[in-house]
Amino acid sequence: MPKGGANTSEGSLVSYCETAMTDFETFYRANVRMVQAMALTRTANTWHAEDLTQDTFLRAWQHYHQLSGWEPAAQRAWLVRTLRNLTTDEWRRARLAETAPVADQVSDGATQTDLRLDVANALRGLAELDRDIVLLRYVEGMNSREIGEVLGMPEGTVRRRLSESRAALAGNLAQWAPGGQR
Amino acid sequence: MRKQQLDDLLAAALGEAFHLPQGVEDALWEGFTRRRSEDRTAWRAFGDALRLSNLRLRAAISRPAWPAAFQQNLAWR
Repeated sequence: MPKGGANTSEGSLVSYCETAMTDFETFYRANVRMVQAMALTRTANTWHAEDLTQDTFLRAWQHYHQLSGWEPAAQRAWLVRTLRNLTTDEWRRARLAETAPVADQVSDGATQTDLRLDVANALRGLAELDRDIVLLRYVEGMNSREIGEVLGMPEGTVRRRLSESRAALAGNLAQWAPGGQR
Repeated sequence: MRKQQLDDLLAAALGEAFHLPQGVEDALWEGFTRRRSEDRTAWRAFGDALRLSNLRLRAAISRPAWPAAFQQNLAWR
């Protein structure tokens, strides 16, 4: 963010603002799947997940003059921290407690619904931190080092927890393996 | 189940479950821009980051060259 003090021309400010808005859209689109996936595992339905996602990015917009200068891993770590903070908000907790399971909100094909239900249920059996690790690994395709950077933990810890989560998930999702019984 | 099989299964199942089609991503972005345009705090923080005085900002946003979104959302300052 440029220092828009008394000596900055109006033209450069306008240009900067337009650039910032375009940059933010790129930032949003690059990270929205991760944030939305994490929100879905923390909330009880897609509407609240979207609400949580938008709140997270609204905070990002408010702080974009800082965030825009950071490395992508640091930006993602900030988004995850913010999402966690918003989720633990007492008011939001109360709202989420009143809602229906994820699968109730899914309206597409039966197979897709079954898959999402099984995935949601399988993930629900993991600790929140382990869910985040699994999502970053399998939805975002990050390696253990990258996950460690985003979540602020040693790479070895990520590997150990991921291994334990794999074992826990294996049984619940086995039917979706090629040739599995559905 | 072997590790590679499980990896493939998880990547496929989770990737499918959390896939965000382009249309959904676009809708999310549009929803976000609506939320942002209604949130004065968000624009105040952004305007403050420019380090403009309220008086100078008011003068600046009244010019046609200023983006419409700023004219609409910073006019209250």
